[in-house]
Amino acid sequence: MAGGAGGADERAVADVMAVLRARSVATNLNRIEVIAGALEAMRDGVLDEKVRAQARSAAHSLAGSAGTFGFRRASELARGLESLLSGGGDFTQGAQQGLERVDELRAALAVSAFPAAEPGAASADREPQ
Amino acid sequence: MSLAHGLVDGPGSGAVRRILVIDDDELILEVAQMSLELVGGWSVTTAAGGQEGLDRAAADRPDAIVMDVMMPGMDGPTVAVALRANPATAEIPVVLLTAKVQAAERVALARLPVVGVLGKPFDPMLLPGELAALLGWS
Repeated sequence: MAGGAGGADERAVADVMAVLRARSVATNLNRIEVIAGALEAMRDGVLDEKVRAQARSAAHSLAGSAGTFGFRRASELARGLESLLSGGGDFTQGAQQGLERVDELRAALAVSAFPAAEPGAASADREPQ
Repeated sequence: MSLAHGLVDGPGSGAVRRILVIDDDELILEVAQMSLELVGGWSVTTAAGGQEGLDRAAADRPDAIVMDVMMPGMDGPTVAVALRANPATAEIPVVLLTAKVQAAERVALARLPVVGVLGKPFDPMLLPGELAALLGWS
């Protein structure tokens, strides 16, 4: 059973994950900017389908990536934004709420990016499987 | 390194199973590769997109393919159908890996020519075991 791999494997995996986790923050912050741009356009009533699709894809990727790297709250927020961006029609009010979620999303990534400052945060933030 | 899953069945074969992972997210590719190699004991190659994955699958004929669903250009479902349509890759089992895990969407994905669907986020310590269970690899 792979889940029963020895302690050496677990340590090695944790070491690699720590490096990749740090790298993921920059990637996911870029995704947030794509989402924010689309939501601003949505709020202003000028969102086109291509930008919506790009933002939805960014939110989808962010949800998977953030969760895999232990940013549970960020993953949840990204899922909500993906859902928002999947809809059609006029979402002026939804866009404003989405932009508030974006601010929360930035904060979730910033806080969780430094688990050493919060004892136990890295493991506690891990989404249950 | 744990090789609990790594060897292909059969006395004396000694061959390590080969897995192709297809995902447009570079970091997810790295996590999956690390997990499947280090924890699963398998040999892993990667592709950063659907067309590259198709080409690599046909050239390498891996023992299994793990693939993202939502990718720019050629998405996972399209690749799964194309793999099945090509005699060179038709028999390779495919497992989808996706953040889209709502029940209705899982059902839709399960209609594709795939062995099963695993969810993102995933735990790199658990992914090989979950994959082995889907593939029937003991």
